Amino acid sequence: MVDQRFIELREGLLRAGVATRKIRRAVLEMEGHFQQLVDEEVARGTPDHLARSEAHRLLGPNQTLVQHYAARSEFRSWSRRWPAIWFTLVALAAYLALSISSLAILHTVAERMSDYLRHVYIAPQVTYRVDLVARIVFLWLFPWFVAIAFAVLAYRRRVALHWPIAGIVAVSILASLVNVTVTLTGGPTPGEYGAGIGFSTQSLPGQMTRAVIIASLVSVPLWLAMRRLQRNSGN
Amino acid sequence: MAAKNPAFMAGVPELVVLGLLADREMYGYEIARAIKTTTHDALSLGEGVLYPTLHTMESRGLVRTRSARVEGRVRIYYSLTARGKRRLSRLTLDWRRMSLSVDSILGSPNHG
Repeated sequence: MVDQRFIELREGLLRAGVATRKIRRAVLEMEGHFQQLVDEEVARGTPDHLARSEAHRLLGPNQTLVQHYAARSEFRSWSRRWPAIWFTLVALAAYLALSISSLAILHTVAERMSDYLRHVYIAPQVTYRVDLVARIVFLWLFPWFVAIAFAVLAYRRRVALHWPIAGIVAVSILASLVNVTVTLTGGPTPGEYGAGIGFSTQSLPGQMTRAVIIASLVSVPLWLAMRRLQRNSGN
Repeated sequence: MAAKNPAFMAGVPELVVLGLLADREMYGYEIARAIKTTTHDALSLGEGVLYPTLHTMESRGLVRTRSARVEGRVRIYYSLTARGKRRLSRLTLDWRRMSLSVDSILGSPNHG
């Protein structure tokens, strides 16, 4: 059974911005240390519950350890050292990288299948569905996936909400400005695909609606989760 | 010189840990116990200082670690690296020089 002390120590270190790898090590070593102190007391004939109390006293308050870790910048996670960069620029770069690499894969597959596609006829309903799926994947799923990944990271690292929310909004806006078309018809000109970025006065309301929906789908659960965490830690 | 002294005093936990690890590899609890017993409780490095110090030393390449399961528990053993040994020699020299300087003042006829 994990002692409540070490759950609180982990939480304290997370809130102080210490990297999770360092936290695992610190908690592991402190738990081992605690158990040895308990064993030592028990070996002296102290009852178990008193031995545990004494071990707690000897270890001192969690806050001392947290303060020492927090004071050393080398222990801080990258996302806590540079949250503005990590949750905005890196999130945007991740979305672009995911989209571009997927397009590259699509291009490679299309090149490999070009001979086959020239000899088949693809029904208009299938052409429509392929295009629809591509739009859903590139314009909805990819930004949602990237935003949710960074939201989970922010939650796990206990990062203040403003930077992840800013990143989620930025990714959602960028995704709303992107347009992707995949037209697969078969025959002599088997198809084409294209991607672009931009907006027009005509399409802007729709694009902004898409941005708001994607951002809300991620930022609202993140906000609720963070609020619940704060309430729990306040109790 | 005055500016160097506080920094040097802040390095005492590091010097003590390096000194203990010079003989053999040890794990955290063992180091804490060794400090207490060797100095007859005159020096006690709290766990809140010991573990961050060890981890800093590891990230600076002064010590290396290996984990081992002993009696069902994972222990992280620390041992000195070549860089750690050089650092220990330098800190020991600094400490002896500082100690001699302070002794020469405290032991002088004008003192007290």
